Amino acid sequence: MSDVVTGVLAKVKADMPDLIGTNLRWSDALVTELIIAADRATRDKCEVHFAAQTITLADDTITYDLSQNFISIEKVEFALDGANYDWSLKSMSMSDLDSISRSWRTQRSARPDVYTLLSTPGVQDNGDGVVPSQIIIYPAMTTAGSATLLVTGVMVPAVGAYVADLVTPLPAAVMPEDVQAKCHVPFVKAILYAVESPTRAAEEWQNFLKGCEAERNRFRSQFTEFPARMGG
Amino acid sequence: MAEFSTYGDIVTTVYGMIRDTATSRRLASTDQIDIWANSLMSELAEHAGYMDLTVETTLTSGLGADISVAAGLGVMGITRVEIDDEAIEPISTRQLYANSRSWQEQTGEPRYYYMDSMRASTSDSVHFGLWPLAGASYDLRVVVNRASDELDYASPADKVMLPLWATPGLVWGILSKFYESESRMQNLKAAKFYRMLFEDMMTRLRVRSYSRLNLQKAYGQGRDTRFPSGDFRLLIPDAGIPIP
Repeated sequence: MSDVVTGVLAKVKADMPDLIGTNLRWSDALVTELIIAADRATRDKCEVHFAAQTITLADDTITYDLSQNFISIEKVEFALDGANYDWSLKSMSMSDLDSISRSWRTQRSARPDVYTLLSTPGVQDNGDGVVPSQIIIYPAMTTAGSATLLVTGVMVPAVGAYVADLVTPLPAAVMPEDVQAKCHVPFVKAILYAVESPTRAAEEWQNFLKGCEAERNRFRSQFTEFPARMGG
Repeated sequence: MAEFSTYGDIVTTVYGMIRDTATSRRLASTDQIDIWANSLMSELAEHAGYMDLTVETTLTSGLGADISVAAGLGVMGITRVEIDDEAIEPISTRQLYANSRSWQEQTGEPRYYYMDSMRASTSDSVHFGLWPLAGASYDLRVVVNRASDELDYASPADKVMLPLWATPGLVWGILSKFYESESRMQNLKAAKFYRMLFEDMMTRLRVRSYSRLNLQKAYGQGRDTRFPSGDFRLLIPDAGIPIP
């Protein structure tokens, strides 16, 4: 297990000697950007990196912002005291909520039962106050007290930075060495080869997909409800 | 180290890949990159339907014949309309004429919205009407499927309105446009490869968008979880169906 950036950079340099570095074909900085892209793509394809965001509920409020690090959301749990998560919320579309109660937005209770989402999880605020990715709960609480939600899902860790709003701040991304070799390295090489040898790039892309499938199988195939193969 | 979250990160990486800089601009100008990036963001919004916007306003008495909603690079469609926090249903003007030839004169609490027979939508707004017209003051809430705000290199710190995992895909899309353009750097094979990477991201964004409420469906055909499930059990009251 090693830091993604330093581990993958060393592996790519070993495969492409005298091409990456100061005054060489590609700079370390550029390849580092590609490693971040490779890490995002790997975590999206493999869906094995789970993390959680804690949301503190507020009185009479049904809508809350979601972290930009989410790839998808698997479960949402509720704790009245902010510590013991002993209630799970079901997911439902707004149209399904309408069939339960047409005035679901204004109904209040001591505990939320259902959640729905606005925008695909992870869509970023543009910085000007537009907040597209949000969770909506039903029913909202008149008095929230110290109640919290724990939203768990597949996430992208920050590379080289910490994310403050997560339960356990995600450190710089780390990955097992074989995952770096099977997924990250072929992804980076595919991007670097694309202009000079698109055929070679396509081969490396296939290696990346095969690597992701192998990792996905290793970590998820024991769960029968999750398809082991991408597209399966 | 860039986090691939701002537009500046995206443009810097593109220039790094083509061995140019935003200062020298020997091979591509920032204006060109802006045009390509905005075109790609519109394409993502249209195909993936990944971003919702809630617009809230007060509907005063007599209004409702023509309401328009605009946002960013464009509004792709209306997902939901609510009056005083309750959803109202879509209807066609043909059905309204069938019910009453003077439907346009009727007022009350709006119960339906219609989009046909409205003026042609401009590039960045959609129009809809309400029936009946508002007879008093009501809270109007519209949820629309929208595109990103316009990207402009003059504001490099603006976040790209995509999930963090998908932002590198915008780099591949811009590189595809660059190598496809009529210039001395044209390389159609490279353009095709980068386009394939962009479309891979677009497909995955579409799957994540349409299956956002159900992780298990993420890699299958899935269904659009923004709309009713068709699960009849939701319609059965908790106490069961009463015996007449």
